[in-house]
Amino acid sequence: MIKLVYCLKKIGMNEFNYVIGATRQVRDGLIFWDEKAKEYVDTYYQGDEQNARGTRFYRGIIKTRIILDSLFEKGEGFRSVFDDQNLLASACIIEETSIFLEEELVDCIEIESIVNSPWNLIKYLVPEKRKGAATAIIEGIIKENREKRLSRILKLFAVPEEKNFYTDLGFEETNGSGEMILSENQASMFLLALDQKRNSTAFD
Amino acid sequence: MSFELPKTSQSKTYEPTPEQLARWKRLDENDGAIAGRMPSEEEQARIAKEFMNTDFVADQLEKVRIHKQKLLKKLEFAEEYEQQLIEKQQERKQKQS
Repeated sequence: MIKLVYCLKKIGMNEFNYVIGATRQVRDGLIFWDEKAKEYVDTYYQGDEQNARGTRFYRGIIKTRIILDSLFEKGEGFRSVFDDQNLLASACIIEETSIFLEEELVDCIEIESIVNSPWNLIKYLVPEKRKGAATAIIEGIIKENREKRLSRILKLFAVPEEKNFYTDLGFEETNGSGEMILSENQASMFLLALDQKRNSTAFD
Repeated sequence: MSFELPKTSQSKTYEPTPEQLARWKRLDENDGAIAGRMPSEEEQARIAKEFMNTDFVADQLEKVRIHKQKLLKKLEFAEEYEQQLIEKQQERKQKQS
């Protein structure tokens, strides 16, 4: 299994390490996610997961199980970020694919599934929470692909409740199905915006 | 293998526009990313129930053992086929000589 770590230094922002592959550290992180998610159901939802229905946290439980089901077959497509507490903060599965753009078939990377840790999804303020994990994982994917000279076009299917988040990152809807694309140009703009944020006087 | 991303300027000089500040605020507030196709409502309820009622480690152990058995069968097939092809190659060499 490939393990490649990029240090995502965020000056004045939360720091994350980007990890490639379902490493032992990642698998330990997923076991901890399960323990914490059950603890949150007990603490905040009276021990009944159905009380959490319709929340981001509930959707996160579902998405995490879907990602886990892919662990054996798609482990090499696993990407994640760890925060400054060394906790798994966000995880996703990517794969190389292609897409029609302006009547041309071009290479792209599909983010098949992405999910934040339970503490980064639950609406309650919990000590483990660290903002910026999802942004950091997208940044890591773009930089990894640039390093490997692969396509920096990203594709994903956004759940309706999260479309605004991806729009703010620079993704654009293609056909109203929820499919969203981050073009090469938008990927560069995204990296530039992050650099500007790091250099911003607003974070002094 | 480890990569450190290029360091940005140490002195913070960038003056963000009001639009950028508003966007960064929204991104921080909405940083609860989930993407990818979701199953039907019924399937979601089933998965959520399974999550609560299943010992994660025991469940993963069972799944990894099933996966291991599948891989062992594939390995067994590959080894058998490899041996068959080696024998065929030797047979041809013997005929030629």
